[in-house]
Amino acid sequence: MASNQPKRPRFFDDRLEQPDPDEDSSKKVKLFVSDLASDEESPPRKNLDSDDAFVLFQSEITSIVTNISETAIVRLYDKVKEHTNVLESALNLFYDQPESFTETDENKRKDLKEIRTIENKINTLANQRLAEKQEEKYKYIGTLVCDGWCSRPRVQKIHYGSRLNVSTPLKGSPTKTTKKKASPSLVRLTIPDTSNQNYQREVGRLPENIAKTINPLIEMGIGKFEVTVIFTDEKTIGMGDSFLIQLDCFIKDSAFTSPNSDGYLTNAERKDFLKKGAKELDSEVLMRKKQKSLFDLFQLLGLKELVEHNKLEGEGSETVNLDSDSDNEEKAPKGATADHLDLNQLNQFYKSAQLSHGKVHLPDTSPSKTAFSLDLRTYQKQGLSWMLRREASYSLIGESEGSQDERLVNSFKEHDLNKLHPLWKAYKWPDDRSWSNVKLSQNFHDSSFSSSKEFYYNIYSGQFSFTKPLLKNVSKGGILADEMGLGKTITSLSLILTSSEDTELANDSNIPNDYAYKTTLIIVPMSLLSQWEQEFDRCNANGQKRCFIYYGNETLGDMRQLLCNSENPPVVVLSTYGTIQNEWARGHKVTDGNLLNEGLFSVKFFRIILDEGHSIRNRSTKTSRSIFDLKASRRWVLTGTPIVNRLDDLYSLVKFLRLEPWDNISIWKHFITIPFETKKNLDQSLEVLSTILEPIILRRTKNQKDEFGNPLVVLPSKEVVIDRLKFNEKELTLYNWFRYRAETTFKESLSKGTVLQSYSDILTHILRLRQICCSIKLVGNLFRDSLMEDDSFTLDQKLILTQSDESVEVLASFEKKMEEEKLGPDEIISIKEGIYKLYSSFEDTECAICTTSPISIEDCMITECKHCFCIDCLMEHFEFQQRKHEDEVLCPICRSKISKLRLFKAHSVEDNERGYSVTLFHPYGSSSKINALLRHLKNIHETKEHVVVISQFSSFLDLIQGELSKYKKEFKVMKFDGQLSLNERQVVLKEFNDSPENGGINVLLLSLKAGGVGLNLTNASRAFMMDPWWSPSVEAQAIDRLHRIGQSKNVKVVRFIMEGSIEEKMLKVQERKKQLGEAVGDDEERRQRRIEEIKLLFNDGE
Amino acid sequence: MSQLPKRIIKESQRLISDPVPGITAVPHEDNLRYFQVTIQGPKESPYQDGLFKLELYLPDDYPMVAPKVRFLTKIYHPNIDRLGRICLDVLKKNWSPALQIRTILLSIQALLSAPNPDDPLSNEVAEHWKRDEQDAIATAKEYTRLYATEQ
Repeated sequence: MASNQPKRPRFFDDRLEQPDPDEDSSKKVKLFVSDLASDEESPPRKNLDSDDAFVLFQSEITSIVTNISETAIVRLYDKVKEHTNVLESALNLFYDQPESFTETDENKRKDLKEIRTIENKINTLANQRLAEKQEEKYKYIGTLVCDGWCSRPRVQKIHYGSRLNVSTPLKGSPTKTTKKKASPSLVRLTIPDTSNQNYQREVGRLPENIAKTINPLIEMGIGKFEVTVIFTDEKTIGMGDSFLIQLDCFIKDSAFTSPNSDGYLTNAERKDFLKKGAKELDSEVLMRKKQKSLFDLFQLLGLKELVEHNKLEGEGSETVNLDSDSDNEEKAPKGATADHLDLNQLNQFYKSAQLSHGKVHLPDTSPSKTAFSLDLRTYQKQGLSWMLRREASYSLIGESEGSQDERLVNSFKEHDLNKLHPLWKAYKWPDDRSWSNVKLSQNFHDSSFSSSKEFYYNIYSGQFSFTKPLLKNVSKGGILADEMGLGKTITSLSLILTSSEDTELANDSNIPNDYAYKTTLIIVPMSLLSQWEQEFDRCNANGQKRCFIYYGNETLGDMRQLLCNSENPPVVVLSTYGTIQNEWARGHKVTDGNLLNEGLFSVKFFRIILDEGHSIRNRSTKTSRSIFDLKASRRWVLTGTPIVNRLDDLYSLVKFLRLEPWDNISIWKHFITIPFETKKNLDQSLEVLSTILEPIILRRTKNQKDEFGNPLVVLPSKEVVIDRLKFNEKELTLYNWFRYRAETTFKESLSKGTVLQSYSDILTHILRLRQICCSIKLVGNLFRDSLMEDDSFTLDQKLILTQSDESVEVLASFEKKMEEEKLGPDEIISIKEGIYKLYSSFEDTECAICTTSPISIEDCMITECKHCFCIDCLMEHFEFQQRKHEDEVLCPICRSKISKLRLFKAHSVEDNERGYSVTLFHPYGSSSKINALLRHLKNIHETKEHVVVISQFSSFLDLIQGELSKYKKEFKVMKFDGQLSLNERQVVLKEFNDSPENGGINVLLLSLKAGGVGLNLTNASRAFMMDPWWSPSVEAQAIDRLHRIGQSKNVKVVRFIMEGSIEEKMLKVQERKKQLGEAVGDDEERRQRRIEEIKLLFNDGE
Repeated sequence: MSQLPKRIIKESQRLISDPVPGITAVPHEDNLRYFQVTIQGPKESPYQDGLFKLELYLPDDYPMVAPKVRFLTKIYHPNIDRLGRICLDVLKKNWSPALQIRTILLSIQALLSAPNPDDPLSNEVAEHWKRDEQDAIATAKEYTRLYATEQ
């Protein structure tokens, strides 16, 4: 203090030498006052006539009141300076209210605080102004016109064009309690106070929806907002009134960063993330908040993503012909549940996968004749072009006889190499229409900020960029998802044979010694291994190129030696999913996680192709994980059904393809799974999905039209008819008994409410009924052994299935009646002799019922009274008579009593002169279905068409095989089911494709489940579905084994259904499924629906 | 309509190519299961010189069930009622799928020759027949002259 007042005269003891406890604060006050006083720009707060007057006053007053502080002096002077006798007034004032001017501790502190606050405010303000002037640049992105809500009554009018300031509530501001965080959805509109320019008086607030969006942007310092009043009522506005404002939005340049840091998680963060599981990182929360706010702002401003236009792709998109039901633009129903897709959504998705301009204008690539010996269809040539493009083998695209459309190929190249990173979106800078630019021409929003017309925005991290973030490390490969039967195999083989080695490396001497750069690994389900091998041999025109099968005992060979270090390595290594998984598991066991030095994992392949790629749809299975670990430069997935049930099915494929950035599970979940599961943005997540997949997936359907409006594939017609059959008495007796039991069980559990618990038992009962529909021989001991080995049944279920004793009992009365009716041995002999005597041949016979003449020997039934009828006519006669409840059935001709148990059946034989023999007929010997099948097969025998007989019961196929083998001359019977080994399958299929020498027909007995994938049975044109399956699509898939490319004849399918049985009701369930779509619902819901279906099975009808 | 069984086609052809004397049966153009039938009254019966019109229909289950036959022409007969319905065992419980249209029509012709008042369908006529056969036959003749002959 002393240093500040060196010249002051001292009248009393100099007390200033004593230590002053408030020295610092005094200094500050002094500084403050003097700062203000010396500020030339702003007028001094103290309106002093001159410094001298104050100095005089100060010296006078201190001479009288010794302990007065400087502040007090200033204050006193302030109050009294207008008075004529300044000193006297000051003294009066001082002694009237000494407490106001005495330096009490409390007062000092109050002052200090006040001063500091002001000081800080000034500093911030100054800094802000400085920053605005020098550093911050903004770019206009759009304008909103909205209402502002008045939050404080206001006397003065707000005028048109007044600028309002925008601010968010200060964090930790003293008016708020610390517990309660500032509301994120609050944005204040303030106006500078007229009396105090530094004080911002709140006028109103932004509407909540907008405030919510821009508040975080202000706080994160990304956005700047200018508000101008554009309309108010003339009268003064009160609380709650609204006034119209223009909100101009700008982005700060600090938001722009280099696109290299693309906002992914760092490795450390990723690990952290994995540890924490589903919990979000703090940085992620912030990122998400930012991204969300920006996204919302863009939405509010109507800022549209700039779609990249490729000239070539743009043209003529109208000519795109999708499949015929593309008119069906029905929106996917919102009712879809969980992560399952319903059929509509699936269709929508597939449609978008097809709807790519670039794919419509694909050129044809004809593989060289020296490499590939088959002719491809047009769409297959286009498929090849697409695959080559995905592998960036531009020089090979569109090549046919040495010429190539370079313009087209270059445009592909340019387009592909210039690809925007998928997490970034391009936007165009809008013209600056902000108030300050248009009305005030104050273009301080620096236009030199960015010269580019576009900017890029990362939808994941919320970052901005001026330069185009390019997609690096483009994965080579994709998903060929052509519908079944369009020749995915052939197309991919044409790719392999056209581009069989890595040409980039061919001349390089530094090829890594584990890079099998000349070999493509093809992984297929075991059942298709031989088919692939055959196809390869059929396509391959170059004898040097060979296909190596890596399967079974030969595994774990020295792959490096074979593929990397040999002169002529195989072009293709063919292996199975099982082999890969085995080696992988072995590798993990032996080397503790490090893969082996031998086998498939020891090399990096040129290319990998997964056939039936949906096999890896569950990313956590061993098979999938082993496949992910394989190394290759190029990766392909072939599948007709990229999505089987859920969206995440696709993730596995994406992961295998190493499609960045989507192969990162957290990014995938963020964009696809979570939005879809929470059902918030169902359509949007599907949209994102199709944006991701559109470039990497190619799907054509059979119905799709080419550019000339012709379907891609013209298949012969397909006719499916239902043949309704009747149970014979024995079958009916047994069926009714089992039906009664099943119904009782069901009704009991229904009334107890335990349907779910006994669900599997009920299903077992139903299974039993379905078996009886096929053959009663499927019941009982006969198949107990094979059943017991089948692990798909629980012990309880097995017990239900093998209750043969009871069923024998049920049939006992039936058998008893039969015993009475049966002919004795002597009678049989005498009747046979009578027949042989009467009929030297059957050439003159006529069936009295259907008038067929002559009756064919195999059809001929002879009664006890020796009259001939067709077997079917006579059986129908029996049935009609029994339905009329006639006790006795009479011969239509002679009216003598006849019985089914007393009939004779003729057979043609060669070893006697008559050419035929008769045997006693066993009416309940073989099942009604097998009889019907035989009847149909005999008719087919004339047309020499080959036949596939399909059943889901392998044991039933065995029965059919037994029956058919009695007709060795007519039929060559083969069986194809899940029990066959690979070699056996190969043998069976080859045999089936060769026509038998004796002119008979081939009959393939196919188990429904074994026949689901890949099989090609186009050699046959007739199919018999022996029993219905729950899902119509499974049946359709089996039928498509015949009805596919290569089929030259019209396909006829007969489905056998037992009249009035559970099978008829299953048809109803199938109908229901077709309508509802099969893929909907979680497990619980499916169960519930199954119960509904069971009710349908039991309650409907009788 | 389901496809016409081979047997019906065959029968129709034979009825035209090899007709039964005194009987015609022509399938209807629109429905090949419907036949327009005429039967001449047998000689030495009250129906002599009469030409009787009938209709015949083959149900879907034919030949497992009998055809349906009915007189269209009014006739005075103890086994035929006022609506033309015929009481004949082979049309009912004695039907056999081995019988045909031809055999059925012959049976009806035979029924005209040999009325059977003991198994009547029309009680009134049967009573008349039993009470006074001569008078009944006269009425039958009168009916034949009135309704079954073209004048």
